[in-house]
Amino acid sequence: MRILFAADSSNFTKKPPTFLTNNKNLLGAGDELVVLHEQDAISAQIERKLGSAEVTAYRTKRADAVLNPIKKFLDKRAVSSRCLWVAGAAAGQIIEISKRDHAQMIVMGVHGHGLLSRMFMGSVAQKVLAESKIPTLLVK
Amino acid sequence: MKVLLAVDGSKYTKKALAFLINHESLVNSNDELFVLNVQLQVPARVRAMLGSAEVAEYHREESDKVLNPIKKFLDKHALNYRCAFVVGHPVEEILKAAATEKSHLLVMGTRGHGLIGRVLIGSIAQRVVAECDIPVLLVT
Repeated sequence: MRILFAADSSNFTKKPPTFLTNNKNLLGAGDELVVLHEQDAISAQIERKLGSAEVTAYRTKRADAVLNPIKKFLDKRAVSSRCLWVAGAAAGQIIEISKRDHAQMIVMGVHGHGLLSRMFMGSVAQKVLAESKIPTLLVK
Repeated sequence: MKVLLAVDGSKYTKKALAFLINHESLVNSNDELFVLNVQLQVPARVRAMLGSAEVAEYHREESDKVLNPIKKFLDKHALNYRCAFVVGHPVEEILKAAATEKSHLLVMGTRGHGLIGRVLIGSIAQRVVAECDIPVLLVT
């Protein structure tokens, strides 16, 4: 099965790959995990001020900080994976990439602490659920 | 892996089943599948009028309508499963079952019979995700 894992940079990022790899039948030989890191949009004004090279450098650095540990984790468990990152409009990008890569399932971490976050899942997860045609696995 | 599948006989139930079966990696003969149908409580006044035997019979009939096709389907695929129904509030009963069964994964539809339209995630799924400690696979 090809699974798309949407990784934001929160503390909840470690849980989904752990769950997936602990249950060997989810990610075994022949399966692939596409790890997608989504970054917040930066306002156009700030981007203009900083210059796009600067912004790209910053984004790449941040993406590496999130993706490298995941990649290492997956490599250690011999899971075939591919990492990529996008900036802005997270939910839309997750859906689009899940379609493009023919993912059969989307996996996301959801926040589970605090009264507010207990009542609502993240807006990204909400949007993905509303628009995705494939099942979504929410891991706390 | 122990999987809890919450069913209400809507089209999402069918989709969830199809997804589980199509990806043998998710449930195979080594896994335990527990299929739970939650029947909404009949209003107290109606219960008093009909008598509890009549009401129990009604719930059994209604749950048979949901569970019998599923049993047939799962038998055909030679899966290791159990079916049950309870009468009560869906959110509470699903959470209770996940705890007592010590399930590793909960599978349910993003919405059941009630809601049409793709904008909303059903309130039951919403609350289950908020309060559940185990990963939830939502089928859309």
